[in-house]
Amino acid sequence: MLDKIFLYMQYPFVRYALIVGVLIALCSSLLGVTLVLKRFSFIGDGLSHVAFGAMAIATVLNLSNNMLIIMPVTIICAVLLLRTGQNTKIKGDAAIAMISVAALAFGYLIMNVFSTSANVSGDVCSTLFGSTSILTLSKVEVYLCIILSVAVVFIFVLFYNRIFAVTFDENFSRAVGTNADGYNLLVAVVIAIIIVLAMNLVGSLLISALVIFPALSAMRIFKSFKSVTVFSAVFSVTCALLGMMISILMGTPVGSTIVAVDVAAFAICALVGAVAK
Amino acid sequence: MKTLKRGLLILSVASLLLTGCGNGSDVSKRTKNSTKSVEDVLNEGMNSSDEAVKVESPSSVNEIVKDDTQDEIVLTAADLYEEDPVEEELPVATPAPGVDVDLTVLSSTMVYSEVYNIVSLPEEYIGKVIKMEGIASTYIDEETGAIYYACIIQDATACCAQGIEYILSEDETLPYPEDGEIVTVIGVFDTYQEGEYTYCTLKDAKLVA
Repeated sequence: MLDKIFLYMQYPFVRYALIVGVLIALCSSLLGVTLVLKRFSFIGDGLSHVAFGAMAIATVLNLSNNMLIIMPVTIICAVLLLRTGQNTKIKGDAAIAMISVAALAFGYLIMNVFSTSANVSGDVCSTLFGSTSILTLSKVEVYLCIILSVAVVFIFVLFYNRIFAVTFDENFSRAVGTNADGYNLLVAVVIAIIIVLAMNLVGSLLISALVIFPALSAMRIFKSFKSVTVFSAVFSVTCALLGMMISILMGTPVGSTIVAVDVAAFAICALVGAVAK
Repeated sequence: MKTLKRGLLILSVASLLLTGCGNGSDVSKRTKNSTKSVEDVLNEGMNSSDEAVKVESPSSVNEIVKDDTQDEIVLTAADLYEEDPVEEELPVATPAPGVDVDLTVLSSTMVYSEVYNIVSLPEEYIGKVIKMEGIASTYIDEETGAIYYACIIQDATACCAQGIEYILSEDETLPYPEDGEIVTVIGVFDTYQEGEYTYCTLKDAKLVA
């Protein structure tokens, strides 16, 4: 087993996958706590479907760098959902559901009608479930991922106190002069970036797992925002690493293996939490 | 002030992380994902699997690597990976003697990813003896009459496929396998030019019974 791990680690694409996977898991877990507490657990799913729709457009347009379309479209939708969702006639959860299914449907429709590939189901499958995308990253994609992940961690740590305040009591933070709208916008942009990055790791249908499971697992055991955030990050990174290693060694799909590990770890945390009570 | 200090600390850590990861070499354009073209091939193969003798659309096998080279670029490893391909030996999973890259000992996830890399970075593998197991596919170019044989492998979800063409050596006594058969092929990896495209192939290939 160890021999096999050492052998696989010699492959550059395996090393890249592990680096990128760990960074994505770290980023998603940091913002996951905020999203879960703000009752926006499902936003990851909605935005990932938007990203899928944008990717379909980029694919049809035959763009060499499809991030040029995916990233701005996802960010705009994230801003619309997180920032203005509460002031519109269509409220948060309905807006997420609406955008989610509409983007998914249009994405698949576009790929079918205008596709340049004969294997649409293959393209859709690999985009939705991740498949081995994380193991076929180019060097440019790896660098982009590293830069964006570092930026996300930087922003989160830099504005940790403000994000904490806006997360727990938005009205109070407004009353004391915090620019709550600005920080909500920041969270929206950051979560959109994470979603787009995470599509490579687990595919667009499974992204929510990276956002939700670490936060919920941490909340089974810890109670303070800080400890939940720290444990969530450790949990997410560990599960992502374990999932990727199992996937590489056993030949299982990467995305679903990581999520399966997340689910198992959540069960353990729930058990530990129940016993500790 | 406290926030500023924290920011500076994180910035310095981030700088360290970033500078530690790169060697400053230029990053060239990567060729497009080759899965589509091979998927095309596989799809066409599946659609006509009932036929006794398979006749494919003109350039189907050529398309195995066409998408990799449609930007008219054949990349070197240095363009894409930070490691120097001359200095770094390719990982060798070789229980079989005389084989440089043994794909048969890798997990299905690894095989798919490695074949993806082989067709994406063909120059890194030229001259290497590759052993692979996959689904046999045959294609006939109706314009030229040329017959192409390929060994196709699928990813873990079986929705994406990659493949490499092979040409059996003259010494090979076994006939080319039927479409859909599981075959194990050992051959010397090479690329060749046809028109404006560069194609990958395993030459002097032998079938492992």
